[in-house]
Amino acid sequence: MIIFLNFSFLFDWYSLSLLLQGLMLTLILAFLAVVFGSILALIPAFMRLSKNKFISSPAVFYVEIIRGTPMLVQVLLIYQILNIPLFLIGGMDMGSFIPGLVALLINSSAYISEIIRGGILAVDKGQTEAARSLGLSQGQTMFKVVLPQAIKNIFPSLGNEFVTIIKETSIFMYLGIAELMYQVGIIKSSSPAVTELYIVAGLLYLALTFPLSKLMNRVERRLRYADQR
Amino acid sequence: MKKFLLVLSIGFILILANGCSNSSNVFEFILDESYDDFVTMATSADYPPYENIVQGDDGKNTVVGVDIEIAKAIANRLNKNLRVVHKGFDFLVEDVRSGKIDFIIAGITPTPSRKEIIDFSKSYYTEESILQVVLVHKDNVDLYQSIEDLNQTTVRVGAQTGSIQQEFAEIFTPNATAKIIQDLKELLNNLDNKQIDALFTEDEVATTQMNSGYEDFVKIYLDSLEGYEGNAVGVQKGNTELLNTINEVIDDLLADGSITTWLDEFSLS
Repeated sequence: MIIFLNFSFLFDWYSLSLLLQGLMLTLILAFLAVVFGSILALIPAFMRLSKNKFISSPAVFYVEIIRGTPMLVQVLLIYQILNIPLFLIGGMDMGSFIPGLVALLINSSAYISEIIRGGILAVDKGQTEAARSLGLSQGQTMFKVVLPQAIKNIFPSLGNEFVTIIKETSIFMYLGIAELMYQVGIIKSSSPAVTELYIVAGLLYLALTFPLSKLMNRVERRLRYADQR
Repeated sequence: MKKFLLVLSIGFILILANGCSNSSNVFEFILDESYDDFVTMATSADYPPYENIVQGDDGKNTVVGVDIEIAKAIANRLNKNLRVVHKGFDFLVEDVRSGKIDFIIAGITPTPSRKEIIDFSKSYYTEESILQVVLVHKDNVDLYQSIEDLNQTTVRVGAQTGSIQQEFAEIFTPNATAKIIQDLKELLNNLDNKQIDALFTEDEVATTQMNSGYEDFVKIYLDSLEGYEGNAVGVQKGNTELLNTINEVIDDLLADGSITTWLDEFSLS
């Protein structure tokens, strides 16, 4: 099959500006999800580390449910549960933006909590024993000794999660949140260049994720600097 | 490297400043300065000539189409301005049910299962005004001359999920392999690439698409079906006051021929 590609829509300022605006919102959404998701993720992560079954099992339950169900189901369900009336902030319909963001936060927090837990567990037990025998309290041990070292383990996977979230934001097109795939949908409805549009959309996502993973590699190398002997 | 990043970020800021309004899925129409309230209508604007998002005269996105004109007429009758929300088709019925929006016009056919959730107005497209067609690629026109030729297991037919055309595909071509998806544009593209052999849609939609890039299609007209209801406006269950007003507006628009005029106008652009 021969396909004649026609990228003329890229020279149309209107289409191009729609795509770039969508790209921007995608990045903003993913950034919000990772930053606030990481903060939220500390709760289930520490709950799961607890030895008390009544504290750890709800966290296990939460993480398993979120990880075991598709993002689309979560978005649809949260949209139904959080019945927010239509109101506008900056031209954006918060009635669909807020449920979307909440779903994304919940989703990313579950994944990140596992990353954090893994990072903490990977810190050598001798560190805790040494800190405790030096007279540090349990809290001090965690926040002054274990967690700083855990961050080094967490960082590479966190970058990975950021990349995943960037790609997953494409679900929001259904909610009418104007991220990249929504804008693609608008251009698509009045242009026959569908294949070309998908190629450009893919490249734009790549333009976000590729520099990001490169940047993450750099930061990671900086963090590992002290490990080299 | 730093200079490049600087240029890149300035570019982004300019784009954002240029038109943040284009990242909105809500479109407001001020019909009359004296109206101080809004009536909210929801649609899934990827279905020209009925509803479609285009660049407006002021450079910003706007939504146009026959359904939008009907919504304006309804809003005018209510002495309110119009606010149009664009969303995925799946969310529309739910939004009306929960009262988040006042009514939906999105080429929705009142099926029994939808009637359980929301109320429908009378149909605003009569059976005479909307003809149902099957599109085939012009290269295959010798193979598929009538609807009977399509009723074979080797034929792949397409239709939109939840649409009346999905039912037509099941009735007219039960032996064919059906590809039922939400996205009309995807189906049109599949037909263009010959990934499907035929596409069930309606005449006005087919005309609009053939006028805007898909020249290679040929229409086969379908016989009208008994008991087929046209598209209708959906409102929250029990909201008879609004429903009565909408029915009045539809009667007037059908009587003075406005809907036919709009159909001709928007299927050409």
